[in-house]
Amino acid sequence: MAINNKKAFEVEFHWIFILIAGAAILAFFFVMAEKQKTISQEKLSLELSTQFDAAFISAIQSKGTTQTMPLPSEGIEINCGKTQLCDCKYTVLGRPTSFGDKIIFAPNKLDDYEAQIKTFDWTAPFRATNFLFMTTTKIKYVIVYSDTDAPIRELEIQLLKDLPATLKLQTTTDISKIVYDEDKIRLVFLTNPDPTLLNTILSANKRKDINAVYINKQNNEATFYNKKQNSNSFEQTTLKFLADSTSADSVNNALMYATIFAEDPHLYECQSKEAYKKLSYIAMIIHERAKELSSQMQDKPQCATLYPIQTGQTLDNLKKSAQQASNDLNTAGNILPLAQQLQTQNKELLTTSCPVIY
Amino acid sequence: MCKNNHNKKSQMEIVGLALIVVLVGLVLLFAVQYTFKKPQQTIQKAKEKTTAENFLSAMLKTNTLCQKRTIGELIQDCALARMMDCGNSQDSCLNAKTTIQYLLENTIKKWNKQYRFIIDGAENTNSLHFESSTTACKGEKASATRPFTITAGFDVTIKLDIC
Amino acid sequence: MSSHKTQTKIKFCKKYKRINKTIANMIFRNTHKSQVKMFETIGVLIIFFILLSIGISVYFMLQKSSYAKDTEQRRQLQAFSTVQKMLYMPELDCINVFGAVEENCADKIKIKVFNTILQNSDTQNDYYQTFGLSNVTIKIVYPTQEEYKIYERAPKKYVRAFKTQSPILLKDPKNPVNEQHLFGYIEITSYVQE
Repeated sequence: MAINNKKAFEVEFHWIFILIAGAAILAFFFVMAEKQKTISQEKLSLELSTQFDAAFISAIQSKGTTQTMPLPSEGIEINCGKTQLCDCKYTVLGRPTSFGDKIIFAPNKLDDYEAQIKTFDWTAPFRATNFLFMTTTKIKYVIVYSDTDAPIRELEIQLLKDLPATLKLQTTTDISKIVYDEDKIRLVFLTNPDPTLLNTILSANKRKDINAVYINKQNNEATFYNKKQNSNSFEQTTLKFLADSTSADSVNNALMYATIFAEDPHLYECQSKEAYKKLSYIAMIIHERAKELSSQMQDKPQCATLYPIQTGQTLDNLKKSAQQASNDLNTAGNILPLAQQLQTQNKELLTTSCPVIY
Repeated sequence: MCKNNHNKKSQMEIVGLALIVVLVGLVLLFAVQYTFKKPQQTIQKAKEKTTAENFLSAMLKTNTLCQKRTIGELIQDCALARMMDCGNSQDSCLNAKTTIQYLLENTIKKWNKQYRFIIDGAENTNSLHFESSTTACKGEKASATRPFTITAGFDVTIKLDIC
Repeated sequence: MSSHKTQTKIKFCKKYKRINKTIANMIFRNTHKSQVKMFETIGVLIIFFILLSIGISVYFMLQKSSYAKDTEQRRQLQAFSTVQKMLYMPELDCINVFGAVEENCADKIKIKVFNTILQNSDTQNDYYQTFGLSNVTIKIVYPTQEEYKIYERAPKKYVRAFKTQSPILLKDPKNPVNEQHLFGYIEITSYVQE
């Protein structure tokens, strides 16, 4: 009987023992897997950061071409935070990394096997910085324009020329002819859209991720339409951009194109402010350079009259306006006349064989 | 018989233990090998290639003390007629030679790298051949090659290897 | 007759004792056997966990060394990327007679001015994203020998420093007609804090 009791206990004890040992082994491997996951996430994030730099440099070196950059399967999220503070970062597997010194305009989420990257010089009127425009082939861009309005038609042609050739694009004058064949669609209106019509589009395509931007080149402003949470309507945000609509073209359209790629108005605002800050630094450098050059113009009196009085004052005002715009985008319009003035002065210097400002 | 079975069992266990020791030993061997393996040189090569390209690009546009001509212009003159007089009894070939040598020694050599510079395609430019040592860049190296026009229809190739 | 009974009894008792002893022995052996088996299993598990720990330590050691190598490579690449970015920075680029940007060229006056504006701590903080913890210098090699410090942000304590260089053309914009190009290089001394 004693033997029987012990035998019965032995089996149970054996099983308990196995369970404990098995649990210990599983725990071991689970901890190892977790550690490995953390290491992989860090490695991936660092790799992506390096790839960003490399893609940025190649894109600058091979101007006008579109570079591709492989993305992790989970995609990357891009945002500048929810508060007024511009904490712009891209997030991979929950790990955020700051943009650093790059000015990036991109959708909120890049979810594809590779991203299309194009850099664009921003000149106002001298080259201030390079913008990085990012997108994927999973996003369709629809340009809605008007055939009857000549400036708008011109803008549409300009857009088709400057936008990356690899972009999935549809152009139309009729909003009802839009083909919703992608999950993510960005509508680019060159004419003022009817908000009710937009809400109708949203209701009719509930499964699609649709957002829009209206580019008003006349007033140099862009209105971002983003879907409200748990609603079939859009919320609107209007922001100013700097562009020269005259033939002078002292400021190029980089900031205008940026409104096409940036889905989030807060991202657009933050990155534009960074751009204006950069512009103020470049204006400062060019101003100091002009002062230095003027001190060496004794043998060229025709140049001495142009340096530094005319150009110096313009550059100083440009620097101050850019600093103001880096705090408040609504004041960016003050930069345009100064840029045009500087461009005229520079041309004058060129024709008189004086060292140019930029 | 019982004793024989018992012996066989212990022998099996010893074999098992020995197998484990051998496996652990192998794993350790691989680990040591992996730890002391030299890292991949891909990034280093890419850096050296870019450095070589930038060197050639900058060198050809640098103005020399010979009539303020660029090194590129000196090479052109050297490959053709050698008509340029650089003063101090130096012609374009000699001036280009001393200048390029100076640049290589004060940059790439100073950065503790080996180099090999040659211009192929013109007999007169054979003297513009520089090596940091006789065995420099015989093995793995990063190269930058640049075609350079001497005159219409006459091109040479300028090559810089860094290793 | 009683002796026979007694004899049988004794025989039976002896037999019974023998049987009891055998059973007792069996019980003893079985108990001892299972204890041995248990200790054996525990022993095997201990050895197994020891081997597993060794394996995992070796694995993590390799991972750490591989991660350290990756980090080092990334640092080198970052320093080199910074040098490459500098070749295209509007803060330093050269403009030719026609107003076009020259590639791989730095304007001498811009270099001096850039260094001056970087003395301002706010501006230096803004450019920290570009240059990080490093010293950036441009050295002219030919035909003159000059050195321009652009950015200086070396930490007080660092584990080691490494240098990255790239050749560059320099231009003195004084005389736009007779443009003179000088040969130099950018040198970035990057500091590692660990």
